[in-house]
Amino acid sequence: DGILKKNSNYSEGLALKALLLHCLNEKNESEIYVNRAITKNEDSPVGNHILGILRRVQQDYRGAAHHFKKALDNGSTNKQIWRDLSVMEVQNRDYSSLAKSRHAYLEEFLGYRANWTGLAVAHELNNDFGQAEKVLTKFEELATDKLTEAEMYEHSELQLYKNHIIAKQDIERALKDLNKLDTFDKLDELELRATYLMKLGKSKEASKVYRELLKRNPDNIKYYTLLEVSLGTLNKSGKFRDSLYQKLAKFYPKSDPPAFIPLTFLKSQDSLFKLRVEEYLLKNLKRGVPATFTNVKPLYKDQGKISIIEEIVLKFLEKSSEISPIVYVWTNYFLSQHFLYKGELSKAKNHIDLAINHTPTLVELYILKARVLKHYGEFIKAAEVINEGRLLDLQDRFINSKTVKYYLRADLIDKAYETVSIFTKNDNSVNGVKDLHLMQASWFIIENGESFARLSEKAESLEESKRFKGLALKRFQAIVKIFEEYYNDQLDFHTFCLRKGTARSYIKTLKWEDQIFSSPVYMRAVLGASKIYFNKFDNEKDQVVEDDSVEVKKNDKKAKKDKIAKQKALESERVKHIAYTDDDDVFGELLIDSKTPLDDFQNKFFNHLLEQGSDKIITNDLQYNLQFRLKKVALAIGALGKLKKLTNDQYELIPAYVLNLKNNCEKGISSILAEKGIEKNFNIDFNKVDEFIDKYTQGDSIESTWGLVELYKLKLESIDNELILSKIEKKLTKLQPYEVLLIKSVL
Amino acid sequence: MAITIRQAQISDIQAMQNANLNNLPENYQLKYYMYHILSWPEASYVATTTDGPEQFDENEDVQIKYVKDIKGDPAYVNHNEKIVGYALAKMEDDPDAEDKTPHGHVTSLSVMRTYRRQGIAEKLMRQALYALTETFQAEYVSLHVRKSNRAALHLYRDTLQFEVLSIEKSYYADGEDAYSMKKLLKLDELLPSSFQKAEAVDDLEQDLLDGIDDE
Repeated sequence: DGILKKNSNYSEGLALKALLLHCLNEKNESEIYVNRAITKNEDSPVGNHILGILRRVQQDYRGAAHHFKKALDNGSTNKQIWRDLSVMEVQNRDYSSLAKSRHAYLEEFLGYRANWTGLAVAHELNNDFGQAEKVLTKFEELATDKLTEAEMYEHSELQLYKNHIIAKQDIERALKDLNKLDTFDKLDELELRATYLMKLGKSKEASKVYRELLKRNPDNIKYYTLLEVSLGTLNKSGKFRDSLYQKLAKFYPKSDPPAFIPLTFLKSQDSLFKLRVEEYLLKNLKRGVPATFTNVKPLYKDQGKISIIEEIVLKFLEKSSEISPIVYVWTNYFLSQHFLYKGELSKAKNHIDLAINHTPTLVELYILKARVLKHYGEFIKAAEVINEGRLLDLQDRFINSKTVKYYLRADLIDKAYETVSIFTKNDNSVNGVKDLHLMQASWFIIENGESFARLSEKAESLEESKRFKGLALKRFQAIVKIFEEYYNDQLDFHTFCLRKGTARSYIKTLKWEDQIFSSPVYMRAVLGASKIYFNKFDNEKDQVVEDDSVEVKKNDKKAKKDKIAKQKALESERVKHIAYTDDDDVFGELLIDSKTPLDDFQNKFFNHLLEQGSDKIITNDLQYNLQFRLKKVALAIGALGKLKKLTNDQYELIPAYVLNLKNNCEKGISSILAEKGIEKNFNIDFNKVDEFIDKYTQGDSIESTWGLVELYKLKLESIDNELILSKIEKKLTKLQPYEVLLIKSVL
Repeated sequence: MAITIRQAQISDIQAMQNANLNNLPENYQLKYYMYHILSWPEASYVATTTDGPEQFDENEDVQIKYVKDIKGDPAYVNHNEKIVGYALAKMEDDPDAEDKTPHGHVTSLSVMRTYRRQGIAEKLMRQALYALTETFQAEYVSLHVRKSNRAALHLYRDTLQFEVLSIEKSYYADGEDAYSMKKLLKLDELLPSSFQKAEAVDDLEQDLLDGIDDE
């Protein structure tokens, strides 16, 4: 301020003031000074440096890069800016600029290995492997015999990094290079050697390396498969391969893969399968392994194998209690899971009840019983049962978390909060909700949000429904926030990893961050939000905006009293749901009051997914639903085309979407566009619409039922809705009770 | 499917964080897992399982309509592959630490309850200890165990041969005491497969297919 008073014209001073104001939380004031600084002198090197720092603090990394670049272009003498710039460029994935900046920075500070590594990494990211290799080699030459003991790990990492880069150009040369290396990371050395040998057709030598890898880690199933590839045994007979695994099992009797893998390739008709699967199952059951069923579940795509397993275990059940009472319990536990998988609920329930009646003290049994009840659609009862299990071991967070999940599925929010808070840090809070947000407990937050969304459907008043919708959006947005944190977490590592030398992991990290927003939980949050926003849009688009401030008569004392009581109740609700320390929108009212639901959906939720997860089915499904509402027919068609491609033209919702587009487009250009697009992508004869519908919705799965339900809900005039309904009802008889409940709730 | 034990990589850390939040009271933000993987990429291990039948396509009895999106569960790292346990390990990097000899530390270890009794925790630990010794030249490894956690104490003391150094009073946020434990590390005594009581050892020389006939 002092400088500004003396001479208010310094662009640098103005920029500095902008930065200070930002730090003092005067956001609007700050922007005014940014503009003044730029107007005064947009080329000032120091001014631009400061504005770059400001933008970086604001997490506007493109803006930061712009100003850092400008500072350097205008002759800044502060060469450290090259590093700040390159960090922004990698954060922005501007790899061609990155290579230039890293190069300029290295020129200024040649004495640090990190700077050489930085340039090599930049070249690799820019797909220039030759240059990357050259830079690494150059430093190695310079550093020959000068490395200290403390630098040896970094050296080891970078030698292997270089080997990876050589392999991208020339496998033979990479193998030669590898043969000269003696690094600390023997595991990567061995894995690389085996891969190179295989690629060079030296499979016999490779098989030796895979055996060496097995000695180090006989529990990695990948090595067994690769060993077989290298031995050329994958197409040998089942008996032959089984003998190989018998041999391997002698070396590694406590490892699961050699015992399990034969079960996958032996055919169910083969008597050897029965022998091996019996050995496997009984060994596990006798030892009381709770996951026995999970272990063999991959075999369940084969009906023949399912029958054999059923026969073996049912027979074993009879004599299991002779071995030991607990074996009887675990065998029933297995059978309950087995019948649950087959959809035979009453048998599943019978076996788990037998187990619990026999030994009521095993926590795992209650988890399974709750799952069986969930399949019956009895969510509250399921939660009560799993809570009984929880009471058996109050120290165990796993059973606590499971119980919380069941409470949330039953929409018993208070119970869920109360239970989850046993293990959270609840300083200054009435419960653990805040801690779970801080700790990024996405499993809890997403379940909580979905529960609120369900409650909004069940709500008794519009007001209550709206409050639950707001809360649901609030939780879904918390997921977005967590993933934005995950994305920003990489920032410090752009410098850190170059110092450590961990370039291999660093590069993987960048690629991983490039698809972080297509993670399963993120997709779930977007889906949850879409339902609320689309629903809001659909309900409001035909309504004239009403004045929602209904006058309360001033002299109506009762109304006033009610209002106060209500506010009091609301306050205790508010305290329960607080997610952040400074949370001025606990109920998500700002979100649900949106005047532009489709825009908000895109900007706050969907764009991240569209950018990073365009190859996901859900992304294109949502894209269709969004663009249809925005009346952007070409984009909606594009999404359908993509859905078709991603699903082998078998996506169950295609009939609903295509027919909706065909029937509900406005007359004129868009309806012509829709028809053309449909014609181009889908082979459909509108005189035989039923065939088109059946093509996508055959079978008894919930998905195919869902495809019909969505179509039925459209109530299109051009199709026989009664016929659709009868088809749905027929499918419902094949579904599990909880699936039937789910579908009936929307019909 | 059979449990697989493999080195942890960056794409596993969300699911590791999820396992930790589900199993243990001591939790960390994702960045701390990133810090582990990017500082000591070789040190941490995960146990995964595939729980769906779609994995094996050798017997093409069932046609899969199309590959669905990954299940919306934070435990999944791939289609059908989910993380059921992890060992998060590091080297001691506190500049104020008294002991300057290179040594490792196990930050966190857990296995989902429904996957216990298969020796997963032991296997994860053996891999992590081997890596700490081989890659980072750790001379010993240390860790803390809740005094009430008898299963963990059994694993470390009896199975993995750690020694109890001391009891640290109110080590945990909730006031519980911790056993401070330590194990000296010697690479040639740590090869993971040597703890299987096997009747035969692969000498890497014999022909594996020797004596096996095709029909």
